[in-house]
Amino acid sequence: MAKKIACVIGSGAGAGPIIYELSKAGFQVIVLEKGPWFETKDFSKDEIALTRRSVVTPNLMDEPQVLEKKDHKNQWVAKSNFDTGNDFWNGSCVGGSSNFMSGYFHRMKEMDFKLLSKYGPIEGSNVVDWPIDYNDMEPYFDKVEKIVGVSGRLVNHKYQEPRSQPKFPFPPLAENIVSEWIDKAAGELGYTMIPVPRAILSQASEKRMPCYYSNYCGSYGCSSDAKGSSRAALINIALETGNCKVTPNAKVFHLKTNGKGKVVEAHYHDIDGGNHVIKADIFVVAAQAIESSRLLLMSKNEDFPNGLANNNGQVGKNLIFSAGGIGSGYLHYKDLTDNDAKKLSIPGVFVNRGLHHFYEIPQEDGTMTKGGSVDFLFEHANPIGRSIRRKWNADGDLVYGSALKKKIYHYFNDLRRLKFEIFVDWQPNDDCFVSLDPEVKDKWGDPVARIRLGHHKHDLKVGEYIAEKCEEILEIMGAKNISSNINGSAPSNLQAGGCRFGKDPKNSVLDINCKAHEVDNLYVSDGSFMPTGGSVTYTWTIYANAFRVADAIIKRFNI
Amino acid sequence: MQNKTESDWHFSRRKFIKGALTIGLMSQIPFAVSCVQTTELDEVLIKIGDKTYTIELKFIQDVQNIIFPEDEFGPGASQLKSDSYLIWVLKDDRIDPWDGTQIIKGFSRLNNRCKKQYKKKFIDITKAQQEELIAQISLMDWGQSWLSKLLTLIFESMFANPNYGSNPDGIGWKWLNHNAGFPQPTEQQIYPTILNTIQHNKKS
Repeated sequence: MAKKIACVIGSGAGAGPIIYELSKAGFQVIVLEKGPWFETKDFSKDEIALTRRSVVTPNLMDEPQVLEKKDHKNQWVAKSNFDTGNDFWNGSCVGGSSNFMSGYFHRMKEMDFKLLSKYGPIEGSNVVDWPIDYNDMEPYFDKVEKIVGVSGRLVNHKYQEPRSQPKFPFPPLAENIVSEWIDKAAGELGYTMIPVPRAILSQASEKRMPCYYSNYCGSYGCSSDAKGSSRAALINIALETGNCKVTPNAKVFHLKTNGKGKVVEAHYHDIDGGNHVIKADIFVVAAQAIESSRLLLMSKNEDFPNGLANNNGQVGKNLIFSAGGIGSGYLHYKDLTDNDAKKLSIPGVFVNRGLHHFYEIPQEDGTMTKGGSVDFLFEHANPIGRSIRRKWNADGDLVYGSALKKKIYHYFNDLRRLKFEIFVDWQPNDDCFVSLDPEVKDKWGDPVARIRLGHHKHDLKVGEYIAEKCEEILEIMGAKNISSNINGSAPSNLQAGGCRFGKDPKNSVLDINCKAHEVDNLYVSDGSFMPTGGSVTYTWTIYANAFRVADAIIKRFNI
Repeated sequence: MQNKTESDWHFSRRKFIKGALTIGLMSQIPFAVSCVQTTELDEVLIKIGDKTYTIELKFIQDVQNIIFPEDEFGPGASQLKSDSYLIWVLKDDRIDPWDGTQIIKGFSRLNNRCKKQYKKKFIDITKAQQEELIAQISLMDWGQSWLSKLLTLIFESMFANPNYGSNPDGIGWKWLNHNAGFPQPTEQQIYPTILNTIQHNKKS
C-alpha cells in the first residue's frame, strides 16, 4: 500500500509531535515552514540579532499584523504593528517559537478542563468546559516529559496533578541560592513553593547535550540542544526516518478543497516570489494560533465562502492569551553577607520556583473561583534591554550623561532584580478574535491578520489578588522597590484559541480529535484548539495535545 | 517610568514613507574604513528618496559624547565607537526608513535651534553651550524622543559583539562586569549577514 502523505504547515510545538509520530509510523510527511531553517550551530548569544532586529521573526515592513485596541475614549482603534512596533510574531523558523521558549513546563490541572461546570459562568465570558478531561491528557503529558525531556523535582502540594510516573525523567537543573530564600519566605506565609519543571535537559540524552547554563536562555536558540524545541527534540529525529521532508521559506497561503469536503492541495509562496503546490492525503495546520486562523480565513472557495471550516463563523473567534502580569523587587548586595552576595550574583543557574497555592481563590460566599500560578525568575541578562529601562527617572524624565552612566553601573553591579510572572486564565470573549484586515497586505499581497485584543475585567481581579501575595514574599526576603503591574495587555508569546475544539459544530471549529468538523482531512494541532488555557504557560499542553492528535491520525489512517 | 518603551519613538508616525535609504561619505573612501578613521572633516551623505542630507561626523560625535561621555564611571561613546555604529544603523535598509529619517531630522532640528540661539553651527559652539542646548531639548517632546533613540543605539553599540564594529575588545562588557554569554556570533552570524546565509538554506 502506498504511503499516506501528510502535509504539515508549521513546525513548532503544535507540529513537532505530528511530524515525529507520523514519520515514525511510516507516513510520508511534508513540512512547509514559512521561516528559514536555523540549525543548532547557527545559534549564538547575539542580543542584536535575536532581540533587537527581525532575524528569527519576519520584518514588519514585509509581514505586518494589524492590532485593534481600545483607546482612552473606549473606542477600538486598529494600527499596523509596523507603525507601533508591537510585534506578535514568535519564532518564524523551523521549530518555531519553541526554539526560543524558556521552557517553564507546568501541566494543566484537572479543574482547568472544567471551568464552566466547576466555577460557573462569568458574565461577558465565553468560558466552556473542554470536551476531554485531565485523564485523557495525562498519558500525553507523560509522553512529553520523556520524549521532549522535562527536568524537575516533585514536591507534594495541594494542587499537585495526578501522575502516572512518580518523578520526572531528568533531575532538576542547578539553582541559585535565591531559590532557598524564596522557599523560606513563602514557608513563613504558609505557602509551598514548587521547583519549576523545565523542558531543558539536565543530563545528556541521545544526541542532545545537557544545559550549560549560558545565562541567555529565553529568546535565544539553545547551543547544546538541551532545550526541548520541536526542532531539536522531534524534527531532527523524524528526519532520520527518511519519511520526512522539511521545506523552509514556504509560506502557505491557500488550502484548496475538492468540493467534496476534503483539502487536496496546499499552495505556498517561496522567498523568490514563486508559487508551488503540494498534494497530500492529510493536512495538518500548526502555524501558531493567529496565523492558523488567518490561513483558514484566507482559504475561501464556493464551499467555504467565509473561509475554510468556517461555515459556522467560528474560525478566529475566542482567541486567548495568558492573562496576569509581572512584579519584581531588587535584592541589594550591600544588604547581604559577602558570601551570599557572591552566590546571588552567579549568572546562569536558575531560580526555578513556582507557586500554585492560589490556583483557586476562596470567595466571600464560601465558593471558590479559579486563580492562577506564579513563576519566580531573575530579570533576563540582556544588557541592552536592561540599560534601556534605566533611561527614565521616576518622574518620567530622560536621564543622560554621567548621571545615566552612574545609574547603569549601579544597576549592573550592586543588585539583582527578582521577578515574578503571574499566569491567569484569559476569559474568552467576543472582543478577542482574529480576522483578515481589509486593507493591509503582506509582501506577497495576502491580507494580514487583524487581531482584536479585548480582555475581561475578571482576569485583572484574579491577577491583582495573586500579585499582592507575591509582593509579600519579596518583602520578607528583604527586596526593595517592590512593585507589580497587572493589566489587560495580551502577551504576544502566549497565544491560543481561534479554532476551538468541541462536540458541537455550531460553537467549535474542531472535533474532539482536532479535525475540522466541516473538512474530512484537515486537522489543526497548535494551540488554536484550546477553549481555555489553564493558568499555566501553554507549550506543554500544546505538545501533549499534538501527540494525542497524532495518535488519532495514525489510528484513523492505519497503514 | 519603566513603562516608557521604544514604542514611544513611534508615537507620531503617520504613514510608511517609501524610499531607499542609502548612505556614503563625501570623501569617497570605503564606508567601513571611513567610519573607523573619522576626522572632523568627514561628512555623511544620507539619501532618502530624492532628498539628500549631510551631517558632519563631528556633529554626531559631539552629541553622543554629551549624552554618553567618557568620565570616571567608564568609557564614553567615542571609546565604544558609537558613531560608526549609528551610521551602520542608518545604512541598514531593513530598518524602517521613517526611523532613519527621524534620526537625521533630529540633528537638523538641533542645528537650526543652535543657529537661532548662537548664530553658529552646533559643532562651532563651546562645550558648555552644547550641553545647555542638549539640556533644553531634553525637556521637549521631540528632543526627548530623539535623544532617547540615540541612547538606545549607544547601548546597542556598547553591548554588541565586537564583530559589529563597536564595543572594541568588549570594553562595554568589561566596564559593567557583564557576562556576554557563549557562544558569541562569528562574522558570518551577525545581523544582517546571517539572514543571507540562513534564508537560502533550502536543504531537506
